[in-house]
Amino acid sequence: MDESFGHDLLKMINAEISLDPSVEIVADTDLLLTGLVDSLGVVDIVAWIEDRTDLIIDPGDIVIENFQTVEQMVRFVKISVDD
Amino acid sequence: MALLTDTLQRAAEYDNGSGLVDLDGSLQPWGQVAQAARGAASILIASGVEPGDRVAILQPKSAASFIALHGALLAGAIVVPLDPVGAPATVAGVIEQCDPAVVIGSATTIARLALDPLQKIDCPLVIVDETTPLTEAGLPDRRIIEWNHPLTGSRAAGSSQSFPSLRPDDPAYLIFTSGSTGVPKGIVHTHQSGLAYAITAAQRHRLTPTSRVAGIPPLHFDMSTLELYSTPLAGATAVSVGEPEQRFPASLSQRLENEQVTHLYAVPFLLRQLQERGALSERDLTAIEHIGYAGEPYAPGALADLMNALPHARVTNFYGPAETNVVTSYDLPGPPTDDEEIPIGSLWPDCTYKLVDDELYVSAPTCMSGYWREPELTAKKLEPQQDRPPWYGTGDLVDLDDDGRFTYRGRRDNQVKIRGVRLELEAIELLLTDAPGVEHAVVGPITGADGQPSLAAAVVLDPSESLNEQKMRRWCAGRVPAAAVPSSFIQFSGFPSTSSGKIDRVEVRAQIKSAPHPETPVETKPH
Repeated sequence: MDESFGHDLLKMINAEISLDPSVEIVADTDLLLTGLVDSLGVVDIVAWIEDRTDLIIDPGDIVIENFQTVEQMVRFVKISVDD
Repeated sequence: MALLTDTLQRAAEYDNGSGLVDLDGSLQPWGQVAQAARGAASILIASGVEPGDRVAILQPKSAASFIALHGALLAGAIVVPLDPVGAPATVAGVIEQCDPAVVIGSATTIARLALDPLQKIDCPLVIVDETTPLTEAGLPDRRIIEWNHPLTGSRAAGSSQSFPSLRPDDPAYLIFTSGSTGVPKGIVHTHQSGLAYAITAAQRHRLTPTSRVAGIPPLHFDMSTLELYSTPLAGATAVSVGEPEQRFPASLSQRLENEQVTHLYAVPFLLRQLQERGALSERDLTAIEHIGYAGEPYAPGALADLMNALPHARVTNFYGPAETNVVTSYDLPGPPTDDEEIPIGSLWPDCTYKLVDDELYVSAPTCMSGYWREPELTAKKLEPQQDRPPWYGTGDLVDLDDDGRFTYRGRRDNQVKIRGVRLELEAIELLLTDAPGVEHAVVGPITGADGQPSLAAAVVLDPSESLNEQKMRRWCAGRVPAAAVPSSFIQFSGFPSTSSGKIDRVEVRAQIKSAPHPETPVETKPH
């Protein structure tokens, strides 16, 4: 996983996924309880990560703990890449 | 038993270890839940809520919102559950229509709404169910009470408090659906109609005191009444399922396993996600005895996949518009074949029917009393009868077979249901013409390659614009329910018109239907 992964993910979510452009999403923004990301957005995020990293994410890993914030996504991807 | 509030009192009498499971897995026995509801009711009454006032609830699913809702009923209020993650403009529109005395929310949900459309919320009191201070919400001139979870925070829950006495025909809750002009319309259910549903539903879902019912549908969706009323009525346990689980099927399946859930009730869209992306092979879901679905037809092949994945579960198809609650149901004898037609089933007890040009009319004890503050619409839709509940024309075309079972054949009008959510195409078209660069829009239902229904939009753009589907979807997502966001957009250079010069919507919708559509974006990519 390259250095800019987290930065690019954040940028992509702010630009293309967020349902409320007036909110600046940062690494620890809760994306789920606030309704900033809907189920369509989750699928788009997973697809973006798979494209970017060549990972194939197991459906069983697409859980709240791994996708609640950008920080958690980065941690999850890092662990998956290392495996 | 005559009132919806009695369901919770009844549950408290069971004393069999059943109760309400919160998001963190903790169980509150029904006796404690009932006491907390009395505490919440006391606070509302002390704050000036009077019988017949509306209490809007803008909270995600949890024990706290369950208790707030029952507390409001006990205080004699009419409950209006709102979508806590809904498009702010839609939520604000509902608040404007129902004119509540109180909005009960959390710091997060209130702040989200307050960002701008709150200007429309003319509500004297806001109750915030969190200790987080409401600094960002910008709520000038409004009384704000912070109540901790009444379960732990209120000792005022004395049994000495007397609550208003209510009649069975008093309004109990409002369910809002979209109207064709974009103004939401409220369906009024009384204690009587709500309770009539709760009693029969408890039987038809085969609830017993050992059942553990997953509370999946959000509160503003009428399917949540199974969890809210039928479950305590049966002395069963209600398991609150958080809103994020709706978007994470693998988290939902984990929760179902952890809580040993026995009964599910959800729309086909969610059940399909659970089956396709729920990592079911990694979960032990053998506790599930019964799955109910409603809201829209289930593609038979996909339903067979679900039934094969969970072979120990019996499946029932429930049918009924929000105006009447469920009025028919059908127990599947086994997984359907690919081209099988799954009936909506036979009428519930005490219901009668008539067919008018193949449209199903029902007279049911579970029927609404009318539309909120819409006497003309009510008179148009409800046909009174002597000594019987009124006739309601469902708008659904049906066949009736020799065994007394109905099969759904389609709509008489343009109403479309996606993921169980009723949508008015005209209202979405009207909204789309406000999108940047859009001159004209026509929206129509399509069926994806996977059999999943969704909406597609045909748009005519300003000559200087080019179509960006993702941008369009995001634009819509902030303004309409998720189910109403078109899954694909098709650019037209112009629309055909009728002889009177209007857009020929019938023709455009036919073209939308026959156009090739890419994979619906809710699909995961193949591995």
